[in-house]
Amino acid sequence: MGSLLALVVVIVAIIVIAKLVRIVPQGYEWTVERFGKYTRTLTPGLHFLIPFIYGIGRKMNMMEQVLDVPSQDVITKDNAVVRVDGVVFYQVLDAAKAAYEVANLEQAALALVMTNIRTVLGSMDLDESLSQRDAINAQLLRVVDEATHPWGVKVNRIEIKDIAPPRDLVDSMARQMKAEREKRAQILEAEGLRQAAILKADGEKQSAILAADGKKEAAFREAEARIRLAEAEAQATKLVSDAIASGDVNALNYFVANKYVEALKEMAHSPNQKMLLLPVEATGIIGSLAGIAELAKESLGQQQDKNAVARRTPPV
Amino acid sequence: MFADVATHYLWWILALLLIGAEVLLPGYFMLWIGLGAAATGLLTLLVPGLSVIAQAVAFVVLAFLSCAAYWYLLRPRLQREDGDEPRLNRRGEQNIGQRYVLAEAIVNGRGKARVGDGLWLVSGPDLPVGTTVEVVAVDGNTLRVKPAA
Repeated sequence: MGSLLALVVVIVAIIVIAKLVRIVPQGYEWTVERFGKYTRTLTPGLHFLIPFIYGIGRKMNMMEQVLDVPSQDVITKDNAVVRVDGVVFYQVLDAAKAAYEVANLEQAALALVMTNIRTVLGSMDLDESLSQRDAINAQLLRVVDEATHPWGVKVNRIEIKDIAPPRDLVDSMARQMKAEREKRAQILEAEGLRQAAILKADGEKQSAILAADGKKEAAFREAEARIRLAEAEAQATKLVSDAIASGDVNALNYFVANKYVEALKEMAHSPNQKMLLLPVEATGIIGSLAGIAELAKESLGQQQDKNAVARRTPPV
Repeated sequence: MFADVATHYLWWILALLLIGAEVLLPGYFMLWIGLGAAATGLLTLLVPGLSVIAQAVAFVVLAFLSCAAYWYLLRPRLQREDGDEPRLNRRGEQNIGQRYVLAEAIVNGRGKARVGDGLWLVSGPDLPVGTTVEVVAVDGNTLRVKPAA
């Protein structure tokens, strides 16, 4: 009987000591209750708690936790229904408050986030809600963080994961974008054609102007050339007539005759054997020869005169 | 019950079993009970003729004594070495000594400061927006600040 009592004593002692020693793992904090009332918080590590009097209340996770916000249908300001889901990152900073100020922390935080998502998105239209993720997140964080403050919780981050408009709306959005791009393409194309037409016309105009300019220039130069030619002819004629006026008509005859004979020689050299040259005017040539004879006579006559004068003068 | 074996051997067997179980099982209470059992075995060896009840009482006392010895002798020494990360899982305290800019003016002792990409509630003397403040202490999820010198 004594040994049985001893055994019981030993077993009870082991149980009591097992309840006396408390190890709080890292990342957790445990609240301590004395007869059901909160007294203090145990930090990670080893603690001794007197059994019967003190008990462990709640075991609070002090690590940052991720809460999935289930997807829900939200109506935007312009009456589009979108499915929205998200994630919340929060951390308990005050174990006692988180344990006792709120009955079910996760559920409460989740409800808060979900209702606020509805509020924030309800004040935006669809295009805004799709493009203003950052603003939505910031606003949600501000509101939820403020609201969870009394629970000793810090909400570090709220992210909207997905905003999904209904299928038909997505299709029409895609169509709208396609139409937008097509419109731009067509406008650009028309613009291109217009530019090209303008450039072409401009080119044609320029080339016509340049051609006309060329013609005009050419006409001017031709006219000038003709004037020059006429002037030269006039001058030449004047020179010839001057020469004739100051000299003898026979000098002219000599030239003409010379040319005439040369022309005849040219014709004789012609490769065309069938060509029969008939002097245009034998008398002309003869006449020109006579001209030459005259010329010779004159010069000879002058020579004879000189000789005669020389003969008449007696030698000294 | 333990007639055929010397009782101090029984205590030592119990001690070894408890200390072995300590390694295998979670919860760090068996070590001290084991030490108590070993001390009881030593006591029965030194003082022959102890009754079984007396032995059990001695075991209880010695087990509690080993707990007390840890608590009062060993623990203060262990607590002095604080570990590499004394502020692990204490997000608020990690801000002590840091400087932040007020995102909302402190009015009636409460305002908000921008920390990272979020806002923290701060308490301190009334200050305008944009003031740089230094965190001096933490109350739960509120940072106590003073204007940075």
